[in-house]
Amino acid sequence: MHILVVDDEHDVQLLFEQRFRRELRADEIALHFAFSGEAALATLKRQEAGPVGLILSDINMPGMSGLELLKRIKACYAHLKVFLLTAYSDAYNYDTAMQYGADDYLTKPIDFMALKQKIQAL
Amino acid sequence: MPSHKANQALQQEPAGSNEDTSRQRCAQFEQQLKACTAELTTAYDRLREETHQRQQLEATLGTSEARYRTLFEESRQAIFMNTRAGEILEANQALLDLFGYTRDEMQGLSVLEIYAHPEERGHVTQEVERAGSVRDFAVQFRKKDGTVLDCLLSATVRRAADGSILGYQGIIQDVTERQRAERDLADYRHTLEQQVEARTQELRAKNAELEETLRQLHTMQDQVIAQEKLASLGALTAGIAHEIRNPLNFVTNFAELSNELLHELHDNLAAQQALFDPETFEDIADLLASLQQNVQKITEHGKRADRIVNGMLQHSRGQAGVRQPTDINLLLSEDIDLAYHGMRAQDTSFNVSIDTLLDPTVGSANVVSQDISRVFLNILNNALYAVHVKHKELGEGFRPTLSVRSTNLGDRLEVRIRDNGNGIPPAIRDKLFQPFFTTKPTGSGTGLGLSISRDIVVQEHQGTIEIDSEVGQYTEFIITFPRQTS
Repeated sequence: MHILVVDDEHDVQLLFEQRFRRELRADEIALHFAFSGEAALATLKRQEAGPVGLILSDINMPGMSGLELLKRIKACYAHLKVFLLTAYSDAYNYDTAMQYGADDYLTKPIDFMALKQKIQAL
Repeated sequence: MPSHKANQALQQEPAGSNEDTSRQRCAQFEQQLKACTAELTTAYDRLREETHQRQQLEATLGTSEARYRTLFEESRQAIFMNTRAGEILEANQALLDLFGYTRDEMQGLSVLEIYAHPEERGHVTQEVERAGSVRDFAVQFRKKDGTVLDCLLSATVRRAADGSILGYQGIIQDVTERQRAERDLADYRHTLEQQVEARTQELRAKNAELEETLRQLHTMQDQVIAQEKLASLGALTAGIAHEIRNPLNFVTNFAELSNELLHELHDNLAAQQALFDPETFEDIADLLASLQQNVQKITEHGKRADRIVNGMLQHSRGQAGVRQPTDINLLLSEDIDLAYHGMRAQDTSFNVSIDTLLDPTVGSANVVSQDISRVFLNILNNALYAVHVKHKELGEGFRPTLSVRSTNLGDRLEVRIRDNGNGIPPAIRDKLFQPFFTTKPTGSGTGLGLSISRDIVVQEHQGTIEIDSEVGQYTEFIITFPRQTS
């Protein structure tokens, strides 16, 4: 499965690559990274009908927020799964995410064990 | 007179010859007669003149007296004349009218009859005779019908030619009406003054009431401002907490990862142990163990920091008044952590031992957890502040200690938070819960902490909050609230 990780923090790439190193080595998953909502949309457009099946996005980012990105993705690529990963666990963000059709909502610090289980369950 | 002279002339007649002498005598008589007649005529004329003058004088006198009589009779002032013994000789119409007597009745009446208090006359006559006159002497007289009149008496002494006192004359002025009017006026003024005083009192009371209302409004306004500040501070805290969570996420995750990697490395190394000489392998294994330990510490402290951030978020979250079953011991533990770390963040050199004795049967209560948490935090922060102050005063000899206890009282819970700080003087104990009362230096405390705490415990949760303290020794806050609140 191809996963696109969207976060304005570049260290996310290092973290995910290390966290998923076994899965990466076993070719169970492939990771792609975008450091803004706009970059994520550009990647998806380039790989139109490409292999990405899951987007993991932060909410609080400069420029396009994760919620806005979620809305756009669900509008253009309804088949894509979107998980939101955020430090904001308040009701407004959660309710809005659900309303826009988020497939899951995880709070930081990310529990990678739980995340892996959710990915496997897809 | 002339006739007297004529007689003398007749007696001085001299003896002479018959005829001549007779003629001569005749002629002499004639001459004398003429002279006498002339004299008589002159005298008569003079007499007539005198009589005329007298008549004229009498006429003038009569006119004058009539004029004075009229003045006396028609004067509006009551005028009298009496003897020294008090018999009334003259009284004008105004006086008769004033006292209600007829002229006949008045004539010869004793003045004692018209004195309301006859003994007063002695004072009057004494004063008149001493000074020759009195002016506006206040005397009460009595009318014929018994009515008492308030009068002013002005009188003079009437003396005979030899200077002896014949009696008195004077004017009586009735001031009864005037005095009544004055009394009425005084009464009216008094009533008016009383009314003004009463109205002034009313206004003062109203004013005090308004001032009190204004003061309350100011207090409320200040409270609102303070709450706004707290709310914006809460929002800021929440923002900061979220921003800290992101780097903390990396710290915790990378530390966990590193731990895993170290485990893998250790496993790989163990598999290849044969490649190393035992001493080198030992060194490498030691280093790996130390690294693993360090990484473990990073993870632990990262998680601890995350708990603090969670605590801050829970505290600042502004969801209003949702009651939920809350584990009170857990809440207390979180708040103790939060208060302790908050204190350490301000002064890393400061340490305090916190003795926690939580009754495991306390269980949960149906409370607004963030509000109860706020109460615990306020009191814990105050306790820490108190021991911090004492520590600064006494230095290392003082061991700052907090003791937190929870007790199950059946359908109620009790939480005691005690510090060994300087205590609270009895004089200010009552003021502690007043809004904006603070003993902290300006800018250090809002003075709202305990006020809000009491509102939360007493009003929101039907609980109690009490203070036990001994100056120089300790302060203990005792909070109780029911498990179920409406």
